[in-house]
Amino acid sequence: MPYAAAGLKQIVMCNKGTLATTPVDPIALGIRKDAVLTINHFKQVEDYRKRKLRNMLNFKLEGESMQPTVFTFKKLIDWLNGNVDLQVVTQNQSSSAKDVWKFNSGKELGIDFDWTYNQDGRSCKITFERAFPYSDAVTFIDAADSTTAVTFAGITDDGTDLALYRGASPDKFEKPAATSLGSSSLATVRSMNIKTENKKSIDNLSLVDNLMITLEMTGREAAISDFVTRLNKGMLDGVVFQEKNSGAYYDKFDFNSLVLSQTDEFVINDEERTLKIVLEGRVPIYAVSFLYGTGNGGDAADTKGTTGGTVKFGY
Amino acid sequence: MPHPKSLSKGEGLLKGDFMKLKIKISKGNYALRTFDKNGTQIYYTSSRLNGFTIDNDELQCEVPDESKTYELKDLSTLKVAASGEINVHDKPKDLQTKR
Repeated sequence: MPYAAAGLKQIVMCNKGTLATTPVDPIALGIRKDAVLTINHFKQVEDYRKRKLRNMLNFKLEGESMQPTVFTFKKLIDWLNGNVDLQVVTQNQSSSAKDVWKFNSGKELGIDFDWTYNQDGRSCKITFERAFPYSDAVTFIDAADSTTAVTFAGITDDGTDLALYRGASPDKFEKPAATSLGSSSLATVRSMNIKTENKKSIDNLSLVDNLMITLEMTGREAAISDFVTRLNKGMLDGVVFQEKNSGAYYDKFDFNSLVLSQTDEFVINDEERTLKIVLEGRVPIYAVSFLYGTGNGGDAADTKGTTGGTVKFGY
Repeated sequence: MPHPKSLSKGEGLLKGDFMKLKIKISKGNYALRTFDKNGTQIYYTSSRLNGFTIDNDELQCEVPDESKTYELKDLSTLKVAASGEINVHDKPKDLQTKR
């Protein structure tokens, strides 16, 4: 029996229906944290003798990309609800052979994502999942070691692209727009998290209608006057969260008024004196729109949001 | 009518008619794929799935009627062992008979 080498070499998503021909809008996880592909039984049937009988097999891929861009965010929204083709390539199993999983042509997986910009950097954790009937799944597994991988324009190796890797770079946190929530240099937490809320189909594919949005700023700018200023803000003001990219470019997340609520907490103890604000709300996936180019965060020639862009919620 | 064996021995179009594909090939472990007129893969099976038989240097397999080309990979080398159009007139070594 040959030794099976660990590792996932390349994970690339593209528009549904294009992997088999010419992949459109391919995005690799690229620079990433751990990724794992798990295949296990799904909804096994247990009989009166506690025997677990086969039913379906579940495929789940989780990976956390450190190359999130406005373009990635746009495509993830487009690709929700089984609208994505995915290719997963393992590390070589010999000098040249590798396993290739093509989740397309009826094998599309559902997507969930967890998008975070905070003081630790920028990341997007993506989960792909779906269960298939047992015999279909066995055939699909059998094909993996003889499937020929698709190559993607502009993507080499694992898709590492330093132009897309951006660390934390606080720019604006405003509520309402044009009114700063406070100095980021006195903040201990400054974060934005956007994640999908799902329900599951009968074959464990995520059905997503809404995004849950949570923004937080906690800091030592916590004088009484600061607290009163916070408490006097509107309950449902508009909010802007912005991170700087290279040069004058930026990623801007613009939440319309009535989208995010405000919750405050003031704490004084022997170690800390902090003021915390949490802004949160749920947004339907089709209430998200995008602006690109000059004045919206990106290069004039950038029509996709790779260099930067503006994401608008609830407009 | 779906071909009953295809449900457990291969994956592809599980509707419509099936036809018998015959390929001259020596015994071995293979993966067989067929493609439609657009080049899209529509069927897969392999020796490991017991998806076909090889007797007297002839592989026989039921494949979807829409299959226009095929590719047979040797599972030990992962090299293409045979490929071509599924057309008895153009490929004398590959015999096709409609069910």
